Amino acid sequence: MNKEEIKNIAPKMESLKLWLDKFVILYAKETAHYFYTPSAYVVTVVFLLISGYFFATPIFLQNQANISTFLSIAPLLFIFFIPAITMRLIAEEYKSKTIEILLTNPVTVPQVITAKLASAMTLIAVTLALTLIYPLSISLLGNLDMGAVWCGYLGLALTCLLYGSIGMFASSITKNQITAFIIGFMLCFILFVTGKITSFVPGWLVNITNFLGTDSHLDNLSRGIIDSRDIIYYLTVSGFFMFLTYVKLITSRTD
Amino acid sequence: MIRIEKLTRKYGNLTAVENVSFEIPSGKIVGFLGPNGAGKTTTLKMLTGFLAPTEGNIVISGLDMENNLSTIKNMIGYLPEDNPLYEDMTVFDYLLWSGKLKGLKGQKLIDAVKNSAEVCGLSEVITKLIGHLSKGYRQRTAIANAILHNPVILFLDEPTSGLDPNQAHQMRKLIKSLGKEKTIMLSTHILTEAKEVCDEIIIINKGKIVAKGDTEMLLSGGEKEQKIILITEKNLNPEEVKQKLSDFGKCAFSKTENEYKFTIETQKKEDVRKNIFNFIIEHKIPVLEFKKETISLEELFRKLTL
Repeated sequence: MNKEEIKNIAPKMESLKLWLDKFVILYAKETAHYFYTPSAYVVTVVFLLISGYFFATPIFLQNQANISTFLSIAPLLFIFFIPAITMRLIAEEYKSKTIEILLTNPVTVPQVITAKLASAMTLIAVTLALTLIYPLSISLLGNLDMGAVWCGYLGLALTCLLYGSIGMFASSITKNQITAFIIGFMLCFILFVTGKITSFVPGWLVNITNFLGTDSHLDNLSRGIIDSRDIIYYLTVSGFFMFLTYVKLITSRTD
Repeated sequence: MIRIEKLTRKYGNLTAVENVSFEIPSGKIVGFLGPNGAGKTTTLKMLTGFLAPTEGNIVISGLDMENNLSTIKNMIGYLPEDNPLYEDMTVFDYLLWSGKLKGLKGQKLIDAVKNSAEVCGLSEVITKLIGHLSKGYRQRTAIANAILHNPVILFLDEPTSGLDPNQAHQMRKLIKSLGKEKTIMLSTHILTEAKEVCDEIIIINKGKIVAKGDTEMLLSGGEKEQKIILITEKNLNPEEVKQKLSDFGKCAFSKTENEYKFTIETQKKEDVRKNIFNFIIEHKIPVLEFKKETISLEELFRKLTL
């Protein structure tokens, strides 16, 4: 890289650094809020208790030790738990009017959105990390295909990102957290169910519902198959809902 | 300097602010008065970039708002209406977080937090949760946040709302001291506050500016008209005095048991009091009272907004 190129790239790097600095400041505050409030712990503990029950049931009742029960039930649980985690993200700022403080500071809407989603994802990542005790305990009892397990967890992480971005969008369209939870839950549920109803829809709709629903994409990853189309699906739909959140916050200046 | 050009803001079919234009020179404290729903808060929200105008331009220190939003955000401090704050943070954490967002770092950040906390009298409660503070301390916390990065312009939306008289007095003192080096625009319902603190006043009603100008000038009835009152003893010829006083403007005369009252109204731009005073001396008129009539801000407010 010659001097001219370095000269050209330096201001861009500086503005990227400034962007990231603000992102980190916002992210740290949001994350601290989650970890300093009991509600996040309650949600995490309840999730671990329920998922632990579904993980342990086959071990004790059927003498079968596998992770598939957990991997199949977790997305359903996330439909409840992730909107519960994300419902406060923007709705609370509206209700307490702190959105005015936030957005009159020298920050941009994309910084606010990404920082808020990243903080919710951090709490969810910690919860998911705690569930790693399930595959680890099975690996102590016998052979476990860890590749498939990691793929399953990748699928769960992407599902969390998708539901999280839906939950944040729901939180951006109302100042009532309960309403945000219900809207987030409904949207996640629709995406979840769309993949389950392929056998009930006309032939020409099968491929569409199969692609739109989360089911087929998560199923591939749970079986240890990493298909770029599945990854693109999760990232695209998550990006779409983040974009809707961006549009909502930007248009609130002009509405 | 703040310049607003033909600013209009609509919420659906409702026009909250209509074709508003004014200029605020640097270093002035300007009171923004108006009844509830007049468009004060909407105008302040547009001036801080929180709302975009439907039509019109805002220029702050020569920068157009829509094209320089992030630069302008760094130049202004804002106290929103109802004083929203993050209640689960301590005063120190909140100011530290806010300072970082405003681009302050290291020792400069710590110094700014300490300084604004000290100026606003927050040192005693700096480690307390904002949610546990009294209304007065919450208001001070919000002001400390607004002045944290030493902005050149402050927008304060009802800064003394909900404070007790002592707290309100302290807040006004603080605003006056801040006004020595900053341009401040404050909206208020408390007219005595505007009279006490502000160099200039803008009155808005139903989204339109109905009066603006120097506070004293507005209270003296505006530059268009001067009203001088002269009260004298009864040992003179009132008709003769009235006739001579008519040289200065339209003169009315009335009498009570012990005195005559002459009211001189003039459209002249220059202050006529000196000429009338010379006339009094020259004709040895036994004066009991001689004053320029002013109207109270309440009267002016009611006259313009009812």
